[in-house]
Amino acid sequence: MEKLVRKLRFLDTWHIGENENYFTEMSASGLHLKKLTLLFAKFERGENINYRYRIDFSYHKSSSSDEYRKLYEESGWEFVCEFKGIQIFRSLESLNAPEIHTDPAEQGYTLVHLKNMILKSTIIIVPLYVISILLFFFVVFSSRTPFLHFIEGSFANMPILILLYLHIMFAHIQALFSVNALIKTLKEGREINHKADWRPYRRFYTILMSIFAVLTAIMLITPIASIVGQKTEPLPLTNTNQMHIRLSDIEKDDSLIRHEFLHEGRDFANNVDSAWFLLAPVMLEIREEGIIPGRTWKDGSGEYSPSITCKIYKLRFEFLADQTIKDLINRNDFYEYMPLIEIKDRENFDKLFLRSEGTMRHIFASKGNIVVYLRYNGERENDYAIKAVEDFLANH
Amino acid sequence: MAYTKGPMTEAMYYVLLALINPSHGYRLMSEIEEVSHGRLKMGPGTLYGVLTRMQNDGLLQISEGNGRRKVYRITTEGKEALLYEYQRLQAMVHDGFSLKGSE
Repeated sequence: MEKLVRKLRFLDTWHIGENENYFTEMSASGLHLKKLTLLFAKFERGENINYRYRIDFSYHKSSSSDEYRKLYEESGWEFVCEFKGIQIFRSLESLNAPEIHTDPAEQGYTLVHLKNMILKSTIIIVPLYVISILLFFFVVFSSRTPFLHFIEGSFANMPILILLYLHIMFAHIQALFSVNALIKTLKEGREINHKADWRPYRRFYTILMSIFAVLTAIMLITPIASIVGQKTEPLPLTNTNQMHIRLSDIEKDDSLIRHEFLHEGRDFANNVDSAWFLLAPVMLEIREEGIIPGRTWKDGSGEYSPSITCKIYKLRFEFLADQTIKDLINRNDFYEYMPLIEIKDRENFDKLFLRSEGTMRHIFASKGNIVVYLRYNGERENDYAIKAVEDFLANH
Repeated sequence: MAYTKGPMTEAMYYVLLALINPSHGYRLMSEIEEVSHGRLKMGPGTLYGVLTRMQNDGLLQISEGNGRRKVYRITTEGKEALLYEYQRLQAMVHDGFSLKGSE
């Protein structure tokens, strides 16, 4: 048996005239409708035949469907296929069979069942999706760091899902209005245009499907890419011109050596995490600890061992920077006992915040699309730490 | 949408009128043409729609006839509705008498 040619159904059920014309034109070019499913119309290849196709809506038990089809057959209409109440018939053009529907007002009544079915699913789907969307907003805005969640991927797909939900809701509501309008038109006595142009609908459908295909691809690929792109590596001994801020940039002391914390051959004190996110193509977290031999902490608590933890975000869009800083400050709010100072007189920063007490300094800074959070524990003054961040931002 | 004695569609009126004599689907089409004196040629979709709807409204009923054909017959309610509609139409025509001569 020859394989059926499948084509996506780009027309809605209630585009009666467009559907009829489409099937008629397909038959004229040798593709004869065989089967209808939710997504596809399946055609059988054959000779070019001039048929007229007509769509009817009828929902009945199988006992009465024989009677129904027989009535049409006796009037010259061959039954083609059925899908959930959509009945498709065809008749050879040359046969000149009488129209199936000779009374538009009566045809209007045949659509009432379809309207009720759409109404039912709209009543279920719209509140369900509205709740889902509200729930999403609730989750996002009850978090203290919504932007970081977005950037670091845990919410990144939600806007796409919301778009999909909105589309489905919109499609349902539109369906309801369209069928209602169609019923009204028919009841006013205006007939279905059996030669209605279906091409604009295909164009619109193609564009819509392409957009959703791209969005779905993004939705599926980005989390995988993020997982694959995540890695932890040992920190090189010297700065190898990478996008790193290093302890030596702050300490500026040649006698600084690495302080290792080895466990099973891995140095847990000196490493760098890197990750890729859709909204932050570069994300680094650098941890480094050093010792200056022979020097002790001023409070006498032992050998001087300064350390840094540094997070660097290179964002996809510059406008995300302000919110990212805000969220970074919120995320690290367990240092809230240290006053947060905004420093405004430094030219090389878009934003610069400082928390400083004792030997601890927290710097939150941004320039363009780069955001830095540096936590430094050591005896160098604020300016050394700020300068290190400033130099880094100037070079990247 | 139950029938509430509102104006009938042309199709409803003629189907009921033709069903004064019980009949089956296909034969009904020619009978409708007959009772309308050839004015109304009803398509199968329209006919089937009207039959289903009026059956749900209790204006007509189906019984198994000889063979596999189903026979449709008008009910008492159907007859009443038809008579009511006939009187309404008659009144409408009567009210239009003033037009006579201006054709």
